[in-house]
Amino acid sequence: MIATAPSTYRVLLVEDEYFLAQELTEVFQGRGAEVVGPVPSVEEALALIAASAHLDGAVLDINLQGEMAYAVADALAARGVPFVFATGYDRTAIPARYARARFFGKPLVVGQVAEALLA
Amino acid sequence: MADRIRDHDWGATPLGPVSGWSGRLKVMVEQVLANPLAASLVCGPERILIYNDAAAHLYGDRHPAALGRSLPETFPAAWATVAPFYARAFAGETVRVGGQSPDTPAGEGIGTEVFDALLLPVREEDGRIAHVHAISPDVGGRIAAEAALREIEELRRIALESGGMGAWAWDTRTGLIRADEAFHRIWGVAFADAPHPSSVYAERMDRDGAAVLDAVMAGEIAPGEEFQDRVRVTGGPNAGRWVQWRGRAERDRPWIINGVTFDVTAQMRAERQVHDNEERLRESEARLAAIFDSAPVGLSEIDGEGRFLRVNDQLCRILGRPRECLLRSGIADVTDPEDVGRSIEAACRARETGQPVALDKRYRRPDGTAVWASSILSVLRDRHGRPGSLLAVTADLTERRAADAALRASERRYRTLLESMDEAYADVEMLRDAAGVWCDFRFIAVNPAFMKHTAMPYPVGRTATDLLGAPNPRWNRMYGQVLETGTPLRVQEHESVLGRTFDLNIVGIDRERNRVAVLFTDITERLRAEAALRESEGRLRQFGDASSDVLWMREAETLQWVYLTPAFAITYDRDRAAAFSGDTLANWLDVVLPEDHPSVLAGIARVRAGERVSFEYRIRRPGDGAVRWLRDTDFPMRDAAGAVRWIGGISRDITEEKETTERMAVLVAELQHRTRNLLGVVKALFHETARRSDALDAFREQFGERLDALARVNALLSRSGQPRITIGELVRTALDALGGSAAGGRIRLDGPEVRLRNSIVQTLALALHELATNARKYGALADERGRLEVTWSTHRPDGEEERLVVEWVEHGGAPGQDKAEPSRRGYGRELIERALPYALKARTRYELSGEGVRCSLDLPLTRALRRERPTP
Repeated sequence: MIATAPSTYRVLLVEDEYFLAQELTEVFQGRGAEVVGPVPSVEEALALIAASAHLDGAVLDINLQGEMAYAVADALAARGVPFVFATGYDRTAIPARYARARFFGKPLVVGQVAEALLA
Repeated sequence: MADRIRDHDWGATPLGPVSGWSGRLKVMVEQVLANPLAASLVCGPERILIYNDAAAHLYGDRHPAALGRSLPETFPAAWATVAPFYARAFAGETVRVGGQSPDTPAGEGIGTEVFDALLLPVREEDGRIAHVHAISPDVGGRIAAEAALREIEELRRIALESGGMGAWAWDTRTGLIRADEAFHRIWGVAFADAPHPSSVYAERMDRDGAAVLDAVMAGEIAPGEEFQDRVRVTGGPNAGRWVQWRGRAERDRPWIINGVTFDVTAQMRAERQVHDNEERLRESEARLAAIFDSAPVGLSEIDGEGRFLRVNDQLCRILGRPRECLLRSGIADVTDPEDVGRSIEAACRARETGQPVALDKRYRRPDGTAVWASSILSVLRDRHGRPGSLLAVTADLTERRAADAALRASERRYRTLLESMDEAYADVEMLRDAAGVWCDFRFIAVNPAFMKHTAMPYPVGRTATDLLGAPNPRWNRMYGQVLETGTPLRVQEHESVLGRTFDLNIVGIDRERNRVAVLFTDITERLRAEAALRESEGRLRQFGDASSDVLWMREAETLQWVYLTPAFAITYDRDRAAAFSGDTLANWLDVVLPEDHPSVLAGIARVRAGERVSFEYRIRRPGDGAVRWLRDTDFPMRDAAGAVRWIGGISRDITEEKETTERMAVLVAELQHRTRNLLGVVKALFHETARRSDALDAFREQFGERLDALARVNALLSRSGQPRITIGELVRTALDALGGSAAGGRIRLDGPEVRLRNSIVQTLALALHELATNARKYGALADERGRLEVTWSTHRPDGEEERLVVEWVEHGGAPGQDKAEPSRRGYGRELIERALPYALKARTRYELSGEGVRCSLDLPLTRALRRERPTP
């Protein structure tokens, strides 16, 4: 992890697939963002959110080792942190209360995800 | 008689017309006519009769036919007797006929009278005896004398019958009466030869009788004067009897009266009886007159010419005319002109036949209105039985006719009703056998529907036995019972001869004549249909009972259940009988979740309005508290008029169905997730492999093998319904892909069956693939000498969840193995040393020695996974 200036964009990455998490990290860092995580589980994600004073955005995989990540989404929403879903699920499978969240289906085009948050 | 002789058609007789008669004959005829005695002329060889009025009287009803006819023809019976006398007279002798009876033609006319006749021959001018002049003496005088004689004889007879006639001599100057014993017996006075004063007898007679005695004694008596009186005995033993006396004054001594006295009580009584009868007759006539006048029917007496002789008030009222007017009128004057002919005809018939004749006819009132009346005309006879006037009994028919017309109209209506109605009707007469038991019945009348309901031939006049052979014996019993008790009977009865069952109303209508009316319908088809319906309902019930869905019916108005199948008990876990009692709608709503009440009631309301509705709702089963989803398909059921009478419904427990649907939705979502995730994994695999490949051939080989490994593990993962994949299966699969059989006994696998969460299987499988392919290419499996041991076990460190430890140990690996390890960390190592710890929270160790790779994977099973029997 690279230390960055306080003004850098802090993005939380929640993705249980190691290589994909690596790719996301590389892309966000490549665009000057500070990556918080990545973490592969709900428990760790919630712990990071709680521990982070500031977050500008988040990328959320929904199915984390068989556990649904909505608790993370709700925690982010509660803090007003914008997030995007990056998931293998169909959009229709996502609860209606997240209808306004950006949605990216897998396989991801990681650049698009980064652009959506950083734009 | 002279006129009659003059007018007689003598041309038709052997005498010829008067103009041709001889002078002598004409003179003789005049003599005959002038004779005050009965005289006749018997003319010529034909003995033709010409006679005078006196003779006509004697001839009786032979007159006037006897005039101009022959004597033998006119008096055939007497002719035999008198023919010889006439023969002598015609022979020239004057013949005297007398003292014989009957011996003359006149004798036939007066029966047994003693008779005399003188037959005088009459000569024509030529001297020939052509006629006989017959003269009878004064027969009338003789008859009178004979009548007097008969009276004396009668008195004599009465006297003898009454026990004797008393004889006496009465000296009216002294008043002394000398009498015989019989006389004294009559008066109850002791017989004495000496005369008694008349006062002795006068004291014993009524005052009138005594007064007559006094008067006789006081008066002047002519010689031969006759006296008689009838007196009542008032004293003595014979008081109360009647006696008659009769006496005649002597010629020489007229003060002496000789006489007889006799008892006439019996005669008096007979006379009085006659008198009483006459009195009674008068009374009876008076009563009759009163009845006649006050009778409530019209009565009239009509003479032979149709004139009213007598009419009563009622007839005056009927005819609307006063009595005086009617008594001046004839029947024809008051009868409707159209009915006059029939009236006269009826009167004639009554007179001719002597039998009463009934006649309905119209009278015409003075105001011109017609009045219908019915009369019975009877001939009134005099006491000799000879027909005289007619008695007409007349009743006003106007009202009765109206009533009759109404009755006829009513009968017509009933007849029309009987004939047009669908029910069968029969009027039967019950018949008894010799023992008096009802044994059969005869059809008196039936309506047309009878034949339709029974399929019998027209039965009127025939008996049931005649028609059916052996009809149901209960008919006789039931009809007889109705007749005897008078109580109508409603019954259903089968007639096996007809193969039909009837619904009957049996009513006795005339007990005297054993008549029973039967109103009935053939209900055979209806019963059959009802049986079929019951059968059909039974089948439907079986159908409903067998259904696992709840079938039910509610009354549309009250929404109460009227039908509920046994599946209710299973679906609702509730006793059906309990749910079916009381307010069944409330019972049901109790079970339906309150939040579903509005939609449920709305659904039922729509059905009630005639719509077919399907809706879903939840119930909480009272038994186990489980919430079940039900789907109702409800529909309106209408009555014959089209109104919604019931609502029917099928309730199906769709809880499982709903769960399956949800599961399917999850599965589809999972499948989508897995597919897309897999592509993500493939993409990352591609990326990582490409990054580490110098040449396309190496890339193709490595990527292909990794893709195969990925495919194999996904094949394992996609085994739906199978137990979770064990670590043993994963290891074997990875090794088998290399041709594990070639490795033979050089590979040892050991560890318990440990089932793995699906979420860790794929990553773990890829790691094992990397270990296996490295061993094959560069390690223990690269040549014949190396050996591989893969062992696993679980353990639970303090305060942590259960963990799996897999030990991968290679022995006697190939010498050039280290060269295979690129300077940069390889994909396999990164997977094991980075990805597994990241994603699976694994603690991994990877060492490379001269023997080969030694790798340890220690990862949490996270949730307690069932431990299976260890494999050796």
